[in-house]
Amino acid sequence: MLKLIAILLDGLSYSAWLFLVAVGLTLIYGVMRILNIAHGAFYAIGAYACATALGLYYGAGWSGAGAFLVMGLTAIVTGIVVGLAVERGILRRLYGRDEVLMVLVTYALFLILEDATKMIWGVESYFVYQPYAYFGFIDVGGLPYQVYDLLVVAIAIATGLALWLWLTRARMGRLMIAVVADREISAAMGINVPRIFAITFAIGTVLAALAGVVTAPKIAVAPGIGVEVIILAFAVVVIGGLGSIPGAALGAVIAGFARAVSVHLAPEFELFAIYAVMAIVLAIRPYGLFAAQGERKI
Amino acid sequence: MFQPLTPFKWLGILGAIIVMLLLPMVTQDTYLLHVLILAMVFGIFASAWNFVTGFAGLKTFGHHAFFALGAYGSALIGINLGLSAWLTIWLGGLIAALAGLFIGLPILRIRSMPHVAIVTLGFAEIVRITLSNLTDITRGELGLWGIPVFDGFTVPGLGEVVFSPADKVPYYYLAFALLLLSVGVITALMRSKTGLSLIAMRDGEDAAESLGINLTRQKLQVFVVSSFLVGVAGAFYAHYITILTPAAVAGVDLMILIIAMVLVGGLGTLSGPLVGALVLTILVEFLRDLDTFRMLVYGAIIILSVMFLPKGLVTLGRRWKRPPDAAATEAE
Repeated sequence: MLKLIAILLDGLSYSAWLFLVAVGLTLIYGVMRILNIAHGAFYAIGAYACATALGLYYGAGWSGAGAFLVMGLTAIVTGIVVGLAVERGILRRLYGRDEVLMVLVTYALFLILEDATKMIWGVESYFVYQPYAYFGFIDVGGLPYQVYDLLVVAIAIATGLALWLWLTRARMGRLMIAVVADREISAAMGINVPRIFAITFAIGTVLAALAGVVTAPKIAVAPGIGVEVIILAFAVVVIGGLGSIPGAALGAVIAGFARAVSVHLAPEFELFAIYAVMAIVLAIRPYGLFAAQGERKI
Repeated sequence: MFQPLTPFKWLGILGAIIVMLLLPMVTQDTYLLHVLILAMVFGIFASAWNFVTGFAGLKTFGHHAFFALGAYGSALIGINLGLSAWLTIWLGGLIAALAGLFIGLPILRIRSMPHVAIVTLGFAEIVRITLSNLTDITRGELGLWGIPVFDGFTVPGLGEVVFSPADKVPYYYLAFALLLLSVGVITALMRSKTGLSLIAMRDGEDAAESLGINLTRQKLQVFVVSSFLVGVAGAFYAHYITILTPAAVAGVDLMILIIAMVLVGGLGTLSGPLVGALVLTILVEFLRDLDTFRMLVYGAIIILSVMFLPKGLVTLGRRWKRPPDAAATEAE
């Protein structure tokens, strides 16, 4: 029984984390048709920025819930700055090129950003455990569980809902949907497509940075954290259907629970679990669970 | 690519082969030969990847799995069964080709580029994780060592040929022979009816299918041939370097390096991958001194070459020689 609760809770918190990591990737792909490998680097930059910001915050002698405000602001500021710099500086010049070239360019960006973070933050590890420890434990059916992990679940759900509402209700979001449906006709109707691209990329980057910021208190922030994230995020979006936000949510839940089950029942297969699920899903539905073939959805 | 070669081009190819053959007689510098051997191994790999991606239009990102399977397959057979490396490199190629058949079947159903890329990448990750976790057999990340080298033999008139780390010349000629063989196979296929149907398939799948090209068979054939060649390259690499780690032969870095070579040289051309392999292998060796920020410079080079050399190095000459409109119609 205890094990079942542990699997459920771990599955939930792991799914939430995977969703945060993958949702920006799927948004950028959905609108811009760019498979953005640099996403992993944005995640890492978010985590590093969070470590620095919290270091300053606690260094100034403050404590308490204000740290969470700092974390939120860090995600938004780093995401917008880095995202716009990359989009304006490099990607904008390459729109319309072959998809393979775009993948290679984003990989090159990933390499550059990885080394840039090493240049700025060095190779040592950063620890900012305070926000993680802030809420302490809660008793769930006899199992003590970190409240912070449950908070991440809430953040993931809130992010997903906010994005969904924004895309379906807000003017800018609906313009984005129009661009997804047909880029050229949107431009002909007077939508500033390059501006939509810049905004999409910035939002995607903010989401990646948010995932990094949320994760930073739980881990040692060190070089290399971006690499594993990107491959996991790819698997998640492929399971759900590239470019689909509900797909990313479903993919995250499937992958998250697959991993939680394997961690608790067959730890030696932990690394395989997500890929195995991906292989099974793709064997049945080659375009993922949510993407109807030939129809673009977000 | 389908025009008969002009005498000028024949001379060029012949000249390049002669220069490559004569080089070890001019210099026996171990380091130089080592870099050239690596360039040739990567040249085989790059040509085989270009065959699948540049000619047949199957955009795979997981070919390093075949390199690793060929390398580990050949090395493990050599260590455990005591077979000669001359035999096991072909067995390594066969193992890679079987894996290519296995992974080729499902990806034929998928036509969207990002999906093919991610599925093949995922497959390669599975291979890497398997290799690093099967520590009983592969010794994992500690590295598989004790791989047998190629057996020596005696050439009448030349004396004994010994494969040892100190003398790179035999390896150099062997790598060159494998390179000629691989490029020869790819060129022969491309200049035959297969090549025409591959290009037709890349440029318009539906149109090609309606003209009677068996897409599934063509794709599978290309994929298997390509993975075999990559497997042989990997097997040679294993017996040349004699130590293997999953990160070195199955890491995604290797795949990206190969892709960069093909793109810098020229995707969808026969000579592009070879030029790219030579240029980037030398460049990577130079950048070894930069150490910490190697990746940054490396990334910048990829971005700049994509921005300013979209068709690759080998098309530069063509651009200078011809008026722009002729070059545009001729562009592959």
